[in-house]
Amino acid sequence: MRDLHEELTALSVEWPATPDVASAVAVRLTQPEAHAPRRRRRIGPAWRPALAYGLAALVAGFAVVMAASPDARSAVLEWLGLKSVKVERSEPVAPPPQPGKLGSGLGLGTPATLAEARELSPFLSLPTAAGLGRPDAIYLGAGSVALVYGERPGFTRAEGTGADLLVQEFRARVEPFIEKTVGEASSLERLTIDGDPAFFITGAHGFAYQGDQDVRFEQQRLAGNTLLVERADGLLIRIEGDIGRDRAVAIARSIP
Amino acid sequence: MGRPLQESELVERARAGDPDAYAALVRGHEEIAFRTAYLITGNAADAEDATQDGFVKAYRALPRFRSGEPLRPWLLTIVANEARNRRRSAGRRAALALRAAGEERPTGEAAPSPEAALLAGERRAALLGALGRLREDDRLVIGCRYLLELSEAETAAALGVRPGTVKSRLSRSLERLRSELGDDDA
Repeated sequence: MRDLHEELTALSVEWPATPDVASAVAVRLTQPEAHAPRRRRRIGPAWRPALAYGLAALVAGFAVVMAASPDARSAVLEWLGLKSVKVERSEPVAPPPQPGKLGSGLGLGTPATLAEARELSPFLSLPTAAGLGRPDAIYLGAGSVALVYGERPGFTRAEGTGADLLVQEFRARVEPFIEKTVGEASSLERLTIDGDPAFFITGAHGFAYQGDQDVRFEQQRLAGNTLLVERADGLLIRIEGDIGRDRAVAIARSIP
Repeated sequence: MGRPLQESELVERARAGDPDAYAALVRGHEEIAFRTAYLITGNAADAEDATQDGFVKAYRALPRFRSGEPLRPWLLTIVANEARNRRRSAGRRAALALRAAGEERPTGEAAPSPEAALLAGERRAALLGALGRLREDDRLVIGCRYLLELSEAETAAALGVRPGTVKSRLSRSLERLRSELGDDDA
């Protein structure tokens, strides 16, 4: 007879992504008890912007302290959940993407083959989600790899990138090096994916990132739906495409 | 950055009305609470509501929390209770649809052959399928102990039973799982 105890112990399950309960509870606790809604406050258009605004306000509120104290700065970002990402609330501005080779003009770095990418960026790990296959174009940045997927069945081309899917992997650091500007039209949801903190941002938002100081490039462009996951192993994953939260989470989970 | 605050310090601060301290406590327990609620309700939306309502109620009940006691079972009691209320009012049997994650936990052993991996995958799916067909009581006690890896005391809190009941219930539930799998005649 098989050892059921051992089998059950070894079994791991795909749980749904944990919603941002802490922020929702914090919002509800600011309301008087009698007026606190007893029914669900679903993550939805009605209050998501409020949450995003709350997070942004928190960042702004700590700006002065942050300037004076890097410790306080990292503490706040830690509280927000992602150390390498800074989210600000204002209307994003960006030039439209340049036409040309898939992914070019997005400021992703220099084009590379898969073999070159593997050699120069040992942290690279390809998503294994069904239907993706190998990326059509790869770009290397400073401490980052971008995987660009052209036409894929079941996906639609995202306007912001001109590709069906963009997956970026960064070696995360304590200092925030990805900045996102979330406008009124977009919303931000904090998630936990298998214990790792994550953000899902829907709607167009500004996106810029800064590489190492000597190999510096900055890019400001409008990004579409984006999932950011900061894994415990130090890899920051960014997935952008015209896809919903659950699909983006599944793709992130398929990265070994 | 300074030393991270101990949970007991966060509880004291939350009691004194510090919202950030309570947010930190919620953040530390939201995943296990949500998954426990999901196990009970069988759907993510109800689980989210139950978790949220549970943490709001727990905040208001903090003055009654006994200092020095572990916080997690206490929170799980409240959240699981919310989840059960929701499940009752929904008036339907939740079909718990859990899928096995792609791989078992790393054991440091060499990768299995494709055939062995396929068999292991089928076995995992059969195991979860059989678990989903069990009665709610059986499913919950196995889910709490093995899938959520809760302690016996935490399982008792989540199920709303005495700690002494967990061990005997678990052993009966495992028997029923074995027979559901058709393993018992082996």
